[in-house]
Amino acid sequence: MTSFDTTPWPRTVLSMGLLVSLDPPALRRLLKAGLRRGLPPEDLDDLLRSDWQIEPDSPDATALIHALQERGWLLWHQETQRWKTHFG
Amino acid sequence: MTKILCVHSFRGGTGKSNLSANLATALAMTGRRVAVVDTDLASPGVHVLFQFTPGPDDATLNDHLQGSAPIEACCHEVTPDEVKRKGGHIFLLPASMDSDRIARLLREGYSVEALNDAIFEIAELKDLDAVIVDTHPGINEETLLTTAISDCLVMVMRPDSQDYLGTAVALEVAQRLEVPNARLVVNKLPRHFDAEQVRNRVQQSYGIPLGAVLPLSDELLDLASGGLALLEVGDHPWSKGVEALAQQLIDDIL
Repeated sequence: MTSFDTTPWPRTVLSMGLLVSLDPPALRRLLKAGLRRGLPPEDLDDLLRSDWQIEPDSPDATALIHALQERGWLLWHQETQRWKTHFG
Repeated sequence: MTKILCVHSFRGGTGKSNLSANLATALAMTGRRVAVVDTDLASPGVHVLFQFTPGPDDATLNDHLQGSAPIEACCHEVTPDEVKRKGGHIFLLPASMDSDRIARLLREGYSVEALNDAIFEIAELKDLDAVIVDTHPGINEETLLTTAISDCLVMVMRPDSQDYLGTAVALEVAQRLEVPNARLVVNKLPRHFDAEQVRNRVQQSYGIPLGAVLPLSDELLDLASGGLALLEVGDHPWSKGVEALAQQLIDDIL
C-alpha cells in the first residue's frame, strides 16, 4: 500500500492543460521538474525525499515512477541521462 | 545558467512584443547575450522591431517545430550597432510570416516538448544569459509551457477592466505552476491616469511585485514598431521605465 493514490490520475497522454489540472501539487512539481533540461537522477531522488517523503529506493518510489512511466508522462532519456516530462 | 523570462499577457494589444524587444536591448546593453523567441506563431511580429524580415532562405522557428531545421539555423543575430559597442548580443528566433506556414501550424499544431527542447538547446549553443519568450496572448499549450519553464513571468497589462480580470486568471495559472518569480508591467498608461493610484491598485489586486508602469507614448506610436524605442528615444519615460525593469531583473533574477 503506497502513501499516495495514483488511481485518480488519468490514463491519457500528457498535455500542459492536463499538467496544470493535476493534483496533488507534488505531482505537478515533479512533472514541471522534468521540463527544461530534464531531471538528473540525483535531483529526482532529492525531490522524492523532500516533496513525497519517500526514499528513492523504496517500493513507494518504484510505484510512483512506474505509474508515471506507464502513462508515458515521465521517461528516462538515455542520451542525456535525465528524466524528462513527455507530452502527446 | 541561462534565465528564461516569459513576457506574457492575457489579452492582445498590450505591447508585449515591444516590451520584449526593448527589454532584450536593455539587457544586451549591459554586455549580456540575449535571445528573443517569438512563440506568437499565429500572429508573429517581434522581428519587425529588429527590422529583420526572414528571407526565403532564412529558417524560422516553424521550420524547427514543424520540420527538420536545426534550431541553430533558425537563430539570427540582430544586434544593433549601439548594442555591439557595449559588448552585448541579441539573437532572434522569428516565427514565419508566410501565411501558408501559419495556416499549417494552426491546422497541424506541434509538440510543445519540441519548443521546450529548442529553447534550452539554443541557450546552450549560443551561451546565452537570458532568453526572452514573446508569447501569444491568452492561455494555450505553448503559453502554459513557457510559463512553466520560466524563471520569471513578466505579465503585461493595460489599465483596462478586461485586462485586470484576465491578468488575474493568468496569474492564478502561474501560481498553480509555481513560477518562481513574477513581475507585473502596466503598459500604455494614458497621460491623465494617476500612476500612483494604478500602482496601488495592481499591487493590492495581485500581490506580486510591480515591474514598471509605462506611459502611453506618442513617440512610440510615431515609431510604429519601426525601431527600438530604447535606441530611438532613449530619454523618453517609457524607455527609462524599461531600463529600470531590466535593472530590476538583473538584480533579482539574472
